Amino acid sequence: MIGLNWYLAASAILYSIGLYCLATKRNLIKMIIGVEILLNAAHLNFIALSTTTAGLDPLARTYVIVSIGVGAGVIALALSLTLLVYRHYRTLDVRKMRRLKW
Amino acid sequence: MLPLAPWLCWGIPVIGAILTPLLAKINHKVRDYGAVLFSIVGFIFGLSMVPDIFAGQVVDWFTDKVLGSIPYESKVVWISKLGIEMGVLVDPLSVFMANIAGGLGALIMVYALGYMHGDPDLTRYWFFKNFFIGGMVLLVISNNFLQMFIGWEIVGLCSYALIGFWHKKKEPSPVPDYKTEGEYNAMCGMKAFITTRVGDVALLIAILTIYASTLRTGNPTFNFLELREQVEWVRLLVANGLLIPTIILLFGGPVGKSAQFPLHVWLPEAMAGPTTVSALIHAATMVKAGVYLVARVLPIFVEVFEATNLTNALCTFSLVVACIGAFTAFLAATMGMVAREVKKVLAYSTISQIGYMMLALGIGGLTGYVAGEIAEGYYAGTFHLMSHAVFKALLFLSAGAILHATETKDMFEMGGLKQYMPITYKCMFIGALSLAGIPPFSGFWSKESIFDAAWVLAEEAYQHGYAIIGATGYILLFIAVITAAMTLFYSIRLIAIIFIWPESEYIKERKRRGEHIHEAPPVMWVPLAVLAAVSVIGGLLAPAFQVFMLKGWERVDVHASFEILVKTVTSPTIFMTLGALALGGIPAYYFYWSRKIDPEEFLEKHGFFRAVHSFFYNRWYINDFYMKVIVGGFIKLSNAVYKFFEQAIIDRFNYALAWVVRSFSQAFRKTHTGDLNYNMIAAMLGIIAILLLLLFG
Amino acid sequence: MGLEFVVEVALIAFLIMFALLAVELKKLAYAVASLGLMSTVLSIIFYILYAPYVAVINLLVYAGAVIVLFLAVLSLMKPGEEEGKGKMYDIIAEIPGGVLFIIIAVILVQILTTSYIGIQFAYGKTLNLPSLIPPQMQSMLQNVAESTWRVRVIDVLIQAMALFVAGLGVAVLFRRERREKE
Repeated sequence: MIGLNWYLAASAILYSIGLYCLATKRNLIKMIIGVEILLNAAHLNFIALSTTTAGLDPLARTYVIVSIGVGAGVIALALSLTLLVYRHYRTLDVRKMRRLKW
Repeated sequence: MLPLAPWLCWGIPVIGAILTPLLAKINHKVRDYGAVLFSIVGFIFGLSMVPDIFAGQVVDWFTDKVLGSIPYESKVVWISKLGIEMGVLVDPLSVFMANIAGGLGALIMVYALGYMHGDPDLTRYWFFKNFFIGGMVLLVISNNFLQMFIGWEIVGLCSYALIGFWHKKKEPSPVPDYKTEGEYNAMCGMKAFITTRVGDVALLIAILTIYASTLRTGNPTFNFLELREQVEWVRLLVANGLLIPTIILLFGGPVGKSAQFPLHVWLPEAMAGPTTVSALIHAATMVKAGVYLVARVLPIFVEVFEATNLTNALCTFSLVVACIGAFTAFLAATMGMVAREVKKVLAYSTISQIGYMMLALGIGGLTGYVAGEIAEGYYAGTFHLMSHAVFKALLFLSAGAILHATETKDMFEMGGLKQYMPITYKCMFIGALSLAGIPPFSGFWSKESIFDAAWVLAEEAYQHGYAIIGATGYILLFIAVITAAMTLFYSIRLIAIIFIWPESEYIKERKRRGEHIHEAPPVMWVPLAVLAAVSVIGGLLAPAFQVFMLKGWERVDVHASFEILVKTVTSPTIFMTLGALALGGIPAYYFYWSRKIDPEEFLEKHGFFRAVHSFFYNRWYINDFYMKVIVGGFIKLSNAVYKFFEQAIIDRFNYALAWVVRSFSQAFRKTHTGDLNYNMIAAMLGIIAILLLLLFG
Repeated sequence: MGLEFVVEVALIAFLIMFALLAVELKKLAYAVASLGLMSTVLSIIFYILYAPYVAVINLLVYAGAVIVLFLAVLSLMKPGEEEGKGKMYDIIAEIPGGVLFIIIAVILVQILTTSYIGIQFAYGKTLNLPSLIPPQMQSMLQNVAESTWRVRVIDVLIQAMALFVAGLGVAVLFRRERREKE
């Protein structure tokens, strides 16, 4: 089994990929994909850290399971909002949705 | 005395004042008679304390229990560590002043029923009048400085409100600076308030300094009796060099309130108020508050200064009081000789007579300094206070009747009123003779006692080796006698022009228009008659008065006898008085009474007298000086401060502050792009920052 | 030893590759598919990390329900592709995002490694110090090491703040200019 550091590094890279996607992409669906990648990175982090040589930490696993469920709910909500937004704006470009800016 | 008399004689008028608006809602008659009733009841309570002074101890009439001996204090302690309490003192001086205030107040309220009849603002009038009576009695019957100062301020407020009572009048104003007479009245009220304020500030500083000194020596108090017994506060003040300034500042209050030089300029303008207000406040009561204060502190000073060997301070204080009093008496009498309006003559006369009272009290203090006994001057001053209150109120009320009948203020527009208003003529004549000091009226006895006190001072001073004070005594006596001459002059002038001269054009015009001049209604001339009677027999009350005032003064041999009257008549000053009366009376007779010499022609012929006349007429240019230099200078200063400080610095600072914030927010707005990606970046960076803080903070 | 190592590293590599593909692909359907593949690989990783329940749930939810949701939504909307592809200014606009990505990656790696060390300390494990140091000084050295890595955090903090400001400024500048051009 490779050391913990590899998984932590992988999680970090995944996290930054998700951030990069959120920070850069203009399409709303792409941004939701970015959010999902973020969530996955966090889960990987949890699980990696809970697997130590001294034993398995059940609490972290439990949290991850709950978080997966919650994350799915968040994505479902985001997608339905995307649908409504598309109906209103006729486009998915985030930069065009600036009606709330003063 | 009736139970709780010292508290109720000021409490009932105050309660009456507060209830007046409620009574006004019922009926006009109820309001009027109710207000007068409250003041009469207050006076009855005040009267009930008089027998106790004669007996020397306070006895409750309802329970026949002896409550204490004179001086009797009844107090409620509020903060005992700071010495703040609320209390009343039953003592000859306070009972005497309370009765004057209450009695004259009640009488003038009855008169006002007739004088102010039909005025639409009467509710406000009754409120302030009753409140004033309550405040004045509170002032004189308090047992400590703080409460007295509260009463002081109350009377100042009511005086301001009542002078400017007719502030809504729309007729053109008598001076060109203001548009309507209403504005002019309001200005007069404000002038009175602000000028007395200067004195009040001085008084407050003095009171607080004395209090601070008592605080420092460990026994904080405002109480008069306690200040008299403890002497450490005097030592502390002297050690800091503050004693003389404090007692001079203490005298500043009376200078303001009693219209002495240099704060005398407000009293002539205060005549813009209704005549009843002038009678009560500016002749009989409020202006006497200063005299009361000096009379109150003089025994305190005598005792504590003797105990601490600081009699020089007593000498300084009394000298200041006496000199200011004498100078004011002279100053005001000269102004009164040339005034044109009835009430202005009476106002100047008031200032002059109060100068006499201050002179008497100062002489008393000086006698105390040289010979250790202040009784003569003290008694003379307070006796003159009483008789002046009576005859000045009489004069003002008669003037009110005349003003009511003829509706003009200028004396030269009246004339020949003797046949139309006989009762008023007789009463006013008695008042004028009493003012001038003609025997056997009360004014003569009181003025004589003042001259007598001055003479005694001079003699005692030379006897004990104080030559300068003796000389000062003679000079003061001389000034007082000259002023008596002038007093007789303007009194005769007043009576003659109003009653004896032939009718003026104005009166004839009124008669042609059908507005006849009639005598005052009974509700107005009955108080006049009462006051005239007291003026006549007042002199004979002198023995009883001496017993009353000097009760409990161990060093004076006091017994009720007519020796006092005899002594007054046979002292050497009687010749001076008669000489002065002749000096003043003979020219006045020729000018005004028998009209052998016409005053106008006389002025035109003699340029010197014309110059003097114009100098006096312009009030020695003191009023103009104050307005131009002090008031004008202050207004210029405020304008300059506004321009150079407020606008340049403070406003600019505010604008700069607003500009900084606004520009910062404009710049910061650029970060709100409304772009979702950008928000994401910011959110993530924020989370990282929080993470860092949580992990390592 | 060797095989396990290779498998795990390969799995991690696939993970990252699929994630990158999910981000970069222009056709949205392909991107979603790539996302699904990434979730599957992640499930396998979970399984290898002795977390079977988590693996199964991840598979069910992410590689199943969520993908289906995505595809349903995509089919309800007309543009199945990202707009504005391949134009010059888009690529230039990607630069600040890319820079930011690198910066954030660096910071995160730093943070996580140091937190790993911190967690090791928290669990009571000691550092492997060279044995040349006499035993009396070992605890003191440990304290020194502990405090020095705490101090390094301030360094990281300041770096982070400076980079935060720079990143914000750059992003704002670029965004503003681009909008002017439109």
